[in-house]
Amino acid sequence: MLELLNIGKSFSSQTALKGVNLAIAEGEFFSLLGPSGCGKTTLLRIIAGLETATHGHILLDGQRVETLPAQQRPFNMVFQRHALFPHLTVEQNIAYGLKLKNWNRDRIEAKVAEVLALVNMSEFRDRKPETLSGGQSQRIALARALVNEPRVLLLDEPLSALDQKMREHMQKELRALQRRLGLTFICVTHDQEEALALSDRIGIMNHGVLEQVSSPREIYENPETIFAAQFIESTSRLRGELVEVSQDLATIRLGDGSLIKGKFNIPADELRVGMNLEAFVRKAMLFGERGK
Amino acid sequence: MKLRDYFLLPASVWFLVFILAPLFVVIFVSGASRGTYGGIEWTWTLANYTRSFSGIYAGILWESLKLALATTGLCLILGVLMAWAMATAPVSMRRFYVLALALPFLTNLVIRIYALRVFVGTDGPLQTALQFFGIPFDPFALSQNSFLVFYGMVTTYLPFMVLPLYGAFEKFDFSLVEAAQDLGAGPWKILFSVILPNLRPALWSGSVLVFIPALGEYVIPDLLGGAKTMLYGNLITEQFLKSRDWPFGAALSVVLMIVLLVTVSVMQKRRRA
Amino acid sequence: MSAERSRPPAPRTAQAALWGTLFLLYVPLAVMFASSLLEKSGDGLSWTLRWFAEVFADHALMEALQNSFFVAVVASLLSTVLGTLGALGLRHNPRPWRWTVEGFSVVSLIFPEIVFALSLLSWFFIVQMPLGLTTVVIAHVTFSVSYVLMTVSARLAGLDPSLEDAARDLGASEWQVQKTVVLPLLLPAIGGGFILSFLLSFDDFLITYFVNGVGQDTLPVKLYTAMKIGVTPKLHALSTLMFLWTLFILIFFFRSPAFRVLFEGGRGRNESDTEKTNL
Repeated sequence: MLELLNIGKSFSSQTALKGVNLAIAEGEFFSLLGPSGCGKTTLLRIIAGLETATHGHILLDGQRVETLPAQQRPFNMVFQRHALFPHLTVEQNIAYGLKLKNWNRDRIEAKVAEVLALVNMSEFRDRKPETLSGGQSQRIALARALVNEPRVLLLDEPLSALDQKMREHMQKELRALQRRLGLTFICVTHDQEEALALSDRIGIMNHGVLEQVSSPREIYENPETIFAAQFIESTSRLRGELVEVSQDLATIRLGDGSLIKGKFNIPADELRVGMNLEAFVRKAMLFGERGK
Repeated sequence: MKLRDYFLLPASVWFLVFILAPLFVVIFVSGASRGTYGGIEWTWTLANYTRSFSGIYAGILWESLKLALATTGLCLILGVLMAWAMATAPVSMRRFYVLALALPFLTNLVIRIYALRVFVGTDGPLQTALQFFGIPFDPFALSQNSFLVFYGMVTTYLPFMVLPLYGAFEKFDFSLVEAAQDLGAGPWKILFSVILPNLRPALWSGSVLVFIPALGEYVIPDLLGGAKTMLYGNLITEQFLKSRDWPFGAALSVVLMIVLLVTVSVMQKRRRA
Repeated sequence: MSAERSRPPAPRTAQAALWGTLFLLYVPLAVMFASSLLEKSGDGLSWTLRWFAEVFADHALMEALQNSFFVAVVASLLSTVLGTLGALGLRHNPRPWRWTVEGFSVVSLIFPEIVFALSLLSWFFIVQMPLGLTTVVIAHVTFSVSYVLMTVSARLAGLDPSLEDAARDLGASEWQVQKTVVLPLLLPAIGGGFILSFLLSFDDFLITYFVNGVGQDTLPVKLYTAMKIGVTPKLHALSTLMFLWTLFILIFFFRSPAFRVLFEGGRGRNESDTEKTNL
């Protein structure tokens, strides 16, 4: 449904994104995962239209949308710090987008009530944003975006401002909401546990490059790059000499003579006994990439 | 996007028309000559400039410079002390102090100088009070020796120094002071070795805010000084409003502006150092 | 916010300097205030409101008051509009433009009044514009714009940029973003700028003295010319009234959100809520 073709973004001093290609399916919960500065937020903002890519195209149902300004794209964003308008009440905040579409008052009121109920915040209708807690304002930010029935909902590290307990709670709510509404969510986060827990697919980004796009399980079990492997779960790096290879297990002799055995993720014909390998050991599995 | 680009236009145009253009006019006029009846005759000459550096006029500039520097110096000392006291006062008192300082600052200068003049004038309260104690007091003499003018300058310009200094003191991390105390330093040592070095930008901006307007001050010497007191501001004003020698007045102002620009850039460089 | 616990106090000398100076600043004013309420009767003094009555009865003074008011209001309105637009435009404009406006802004704040006064006078002469209240208004706007610009810019800088992004994302055009999100949040600062302009204009003496027309004095100019002639109780009353007027505006202003903006910078209720984590 949504396609990103060769999206690149450079600023005067650096390149934030290098040729990103991505296809998002309708109704999926997609997470962009990566460390700070990897370009994931930039990519999200480019999709939203808040920034323009230096080159590349964005296609929605096959139509090019990258030339449209943010206000005309059928996407809505939930901002990291919620960005609720402080001078408007909760209701006015949510109604903001609808008012711009010139809906009549009754219709707006009904729709706002509906979405407030959806996020369990109906009693807060006339409150001002400054009186809300982190979790509450996040829900309102969500409601404000959802009420416009966007094709894609973009979330910029929506849970990072919350404490641990609240975060876990909201994670479940978010996932439930998405399932219930059947909407497409693209969520940016630096928290791998969150990405693993919520997503249908994850895109790992590093230094402006999309390194791998797969389901959580795939990423966990078969990371395609060292970065991906280490990001998903921290690993220990060992170096040794390949001693033996069988169907899917390799045995490596480490510097002190000890042997370890584990799964490998390089095509078997590239392995030769006696070669030096770097192995990354996790609690459950072991990977390697051909060493230097 | 496009609409926003025009926002800056009105203010820019206004500045160009009413600040930049007039300044050019002044420079222009400074090269002209005085017409017979006080108008401007457009015969080009540098005589105005040579005149501004001659004898009395250079002397007046020098006197004004001394006064401005002295004012700045005293304001600096008092300002530091006051800002320090304000910033370390209980929080509830601080706003009161700020207001107490801001209030005279925001009221009319003429009123304040007037009040001062009344206060120290003949038959004024100061004289009456001192007479009561048997101390002879001659207001006339006071205005002649320009102490009064200095006093007026300092009291007028203090808020310009204190308020920015207070702003900086307020943000200062006083745990540094506590640490120094813990190490055995006395308050004055702390002021000079811990606080002031970190407050340099504020000290410079406060000084600039006082020195520049002080150099061109007109009202205070005019109202508080006697006939003998003529500072640069008075000199310039006289050319424009009395002697009607606009070209000469313009030249004097250009000299003033140059002196100011030089001073400011020197101060700027020292700030960066 | 700085720590609320108390700080090591400054030495006595500093505190003495503070109180001494405040005393010296206010004593003359207090005396003037008192003298405006007293008159010599017989051998002593008695309370009276006579001088105030004389002030209000003086037509020339009342006219000057009208002029002052008129000039202050018009000049403040103009400078508020110019300054606000300038602050809004300053954020997003390319560098050379910005530098010019910012530079002039700083210059107009620091340069001695006399330089302004005479340059404007010369300019009006060259373009042959007759001196009158119009020229006074122009002059006042010129020095006020920078104050408004500074005030509004400070507040603008403190606004959360994602608020505007959110508005765009929800479908607002650029103009709508300014109108429905930025301007409402900027209102306290704009108000503060207006009041500051008003006070500066109402109290201005030197520049007005240079560029006003004959017979169209503002109150400060009238006070000055009267002072040159001599000190009289009626003038005490006039000065007191002017002082009280400023005080009144300040108190009124003190209670408004605009005050917070001027004295506490761009902080305050401008960011969308963030760090609260309790449910």
